[in-house]
Amino acid sequence: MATILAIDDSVTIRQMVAHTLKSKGHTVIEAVDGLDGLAKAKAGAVNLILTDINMPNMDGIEMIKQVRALPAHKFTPILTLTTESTSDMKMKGKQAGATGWIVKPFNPEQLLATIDKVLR
Amino acid sequence: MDMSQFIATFFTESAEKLNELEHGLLDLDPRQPTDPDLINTIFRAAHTIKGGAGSFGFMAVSDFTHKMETLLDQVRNDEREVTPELVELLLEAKDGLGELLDAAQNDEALDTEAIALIERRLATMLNGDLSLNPEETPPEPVEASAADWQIRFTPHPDMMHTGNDPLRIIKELSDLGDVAVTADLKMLPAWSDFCADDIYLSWQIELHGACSQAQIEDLFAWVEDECDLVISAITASTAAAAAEPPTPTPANTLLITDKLQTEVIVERRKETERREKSGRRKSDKAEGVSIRVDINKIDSVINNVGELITTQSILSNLCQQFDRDDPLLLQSFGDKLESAVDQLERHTRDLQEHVMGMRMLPISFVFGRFGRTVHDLCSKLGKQVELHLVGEHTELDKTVIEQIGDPLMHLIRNSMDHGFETPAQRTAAGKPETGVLLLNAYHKGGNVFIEICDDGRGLDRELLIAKALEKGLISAETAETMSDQDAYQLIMQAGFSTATELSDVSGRGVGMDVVRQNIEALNGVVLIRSEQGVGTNITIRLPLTLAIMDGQLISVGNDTFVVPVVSIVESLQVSDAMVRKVAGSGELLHYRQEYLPILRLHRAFGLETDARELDRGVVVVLDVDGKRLAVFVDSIFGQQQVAVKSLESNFQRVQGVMGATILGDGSIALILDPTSLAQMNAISIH
Repeated sequence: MATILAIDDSVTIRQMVAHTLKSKGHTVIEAVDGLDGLAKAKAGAVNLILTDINMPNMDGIEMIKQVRALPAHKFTPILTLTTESTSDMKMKGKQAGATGWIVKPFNPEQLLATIDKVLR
Repeated sequence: MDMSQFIATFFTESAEKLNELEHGLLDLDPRQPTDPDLINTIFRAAHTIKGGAGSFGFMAVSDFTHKMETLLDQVRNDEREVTPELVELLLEAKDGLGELLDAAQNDEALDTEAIALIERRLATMLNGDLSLNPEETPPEPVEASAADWQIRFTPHPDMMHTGNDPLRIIKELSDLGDVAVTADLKMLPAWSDFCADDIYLSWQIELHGACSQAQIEDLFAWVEDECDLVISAITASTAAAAAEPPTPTPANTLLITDKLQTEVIVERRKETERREKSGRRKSDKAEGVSIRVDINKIDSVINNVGELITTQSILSNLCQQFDRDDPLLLQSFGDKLESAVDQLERHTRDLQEHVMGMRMLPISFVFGRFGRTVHDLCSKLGKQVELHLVGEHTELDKTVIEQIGDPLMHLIRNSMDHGFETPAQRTAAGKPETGVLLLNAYHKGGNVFIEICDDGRGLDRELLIAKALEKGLISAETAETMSDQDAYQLIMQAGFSTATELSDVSGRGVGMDVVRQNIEALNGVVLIRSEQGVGTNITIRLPLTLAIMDGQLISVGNDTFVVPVVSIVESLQVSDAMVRKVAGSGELLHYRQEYLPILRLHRAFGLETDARELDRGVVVVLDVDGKRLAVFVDSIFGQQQVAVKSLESNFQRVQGVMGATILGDGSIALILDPTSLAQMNAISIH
């Protein structure tokens, strides 16, 4: 099972994501914004990062750039959680170094399916 | 997976975000250049609500918020200017959103017409100048569908640097049908030039399986900018087609897919409805019941529980040692038991107090909504008023918080309507055009004070008295001797306001007398100070039944009392020479060019003591609402923090006493109430 870092300023989304992932036996580390996420990515081994884009203090784009620059996370899958169905935000995330995206709103099954995809 | 357990979180979070949204919008000044941080905060608030609403299937909320968010996004990207119209519309939309959320939470009937109207106005504003409709995506091109595909997949060398793995994608392709993969090695460099992080391979993949081009493209969506991809259908030979079972034609496949999609959509809709229903039922119960508590408060409760467990183990130990046949042991057992039970009692009380303390909320819960009130009234009344908030973190009991909102709202409306002048009048009076309304909350003694100060025109003493005379509320005699304070207090009297004076702003059919009643119902007091032309200060004093305060221990006879330290000016020993006896006014202490009334506590409470003469005890000078009172006691001890327990809830209100507390040794001490003591003294003299 994987250790997954979930970063979102919305407590609702964080709780839902954490609950869904934990139900499959994953370990979940929660972070409330980009700054917090970056610190937690630096702190320990993480197999996958799920992150919101629009967040206070440090947004997801900047966080991804900085995480990707860390040697430990050179190849770590990073998925953006984005409500923007426009390709704009997805591509911004990708350019910053994200692996892919999950479009919000998503149901738990979609989330798990996508996660299995990158973890397998 | 059941997500309904998070619905309560969603509504709590949405309420917070709505608040942030409103505050942000109120801070958005069309005259100033837009602050990117501010607009981002506002955008995020809408964004969070939209995201959560979508996750729980509250599509009405999500769609509505999407329109607000799009407008905000345009502002964020400098595609739209902040105009007063935009701010007003977004504020109205925020209200509408609040109603939508309430309706979703409580399953209430909703004024859909009003919501639809706001939604239309949002849409008009969105389309009006930029004719943007981000929801509208170009119609999907009809996708080719075939049984066999040829895929040429050439990843860019740095593809793995985004965490993508070409093998993962090839494995996913195998889910769509049988694959035959051929790796192309010709780009492999010499060993010396080889970089392990880069990809040098490309693949030629044959996929045999009925799927659409879109399905294949979907698998490559994350890497479409990180690879060269060529997908082409393999045209089957006529002979092969005849031999094989009929392959679905593209049209057929589309039809099937459509049907599938329709079913999926219908299923989802049902699911959504189910979720909405179950969510509503859940939140009905949760409504108004949940409360956010500071983690420190929870820690102290946990601490208390720890103490209780220790005490419990002491008691269990004692029980094990209990031996009723040994008279010697029995004696010491009794003592130990008593002390353990004392301890248990103390910890239980502490626990109770801390649990009650969880009900304390910062007054910002109430203050928060007044920003909007002031903003709305300014535009309605053509006035310019800035709202300043001080002491928003002052804590009050949840019940008080819930009940103080309406009286405060009324006082603010009243101040906006009658207190503040129009900008023209202010300029004429030599004041700045923009008035200042200050809301200030603070703890003092055992009380919470809330001040509402305006720098408006102030109250006109003579006008108030004349009106009260006209209405027969006071007699001509009283009118002559009336103090300023009493005259101002007239506005709080029943029957002072009349229907003709009620405007639709402050009126609403409720007079200031109702405000006074509401506050008195909370055991509070309203004090009014005013200066004509300078402004009015309305102070609400509320008792804080659950406070911990600094207390000065004093003794009279065998009893110990607590005096709030904040009320003490000083303590001194006096001689008879400093005391004057005045007919009708009792004893007065001549002290620092002032004459202070003396209250002998042992007389006031009917206690036995040896220290009856003033030179045998101590005088504690108290500050009582700006006046002084000298209280004569036997002696004073140390100071300590005491938890105020209400007497009223368990016994009854006692004159001169605000509550009781338990001292370190387990004994009970009454806490003196300076205001009430002063009243006792005044009454005893009369």
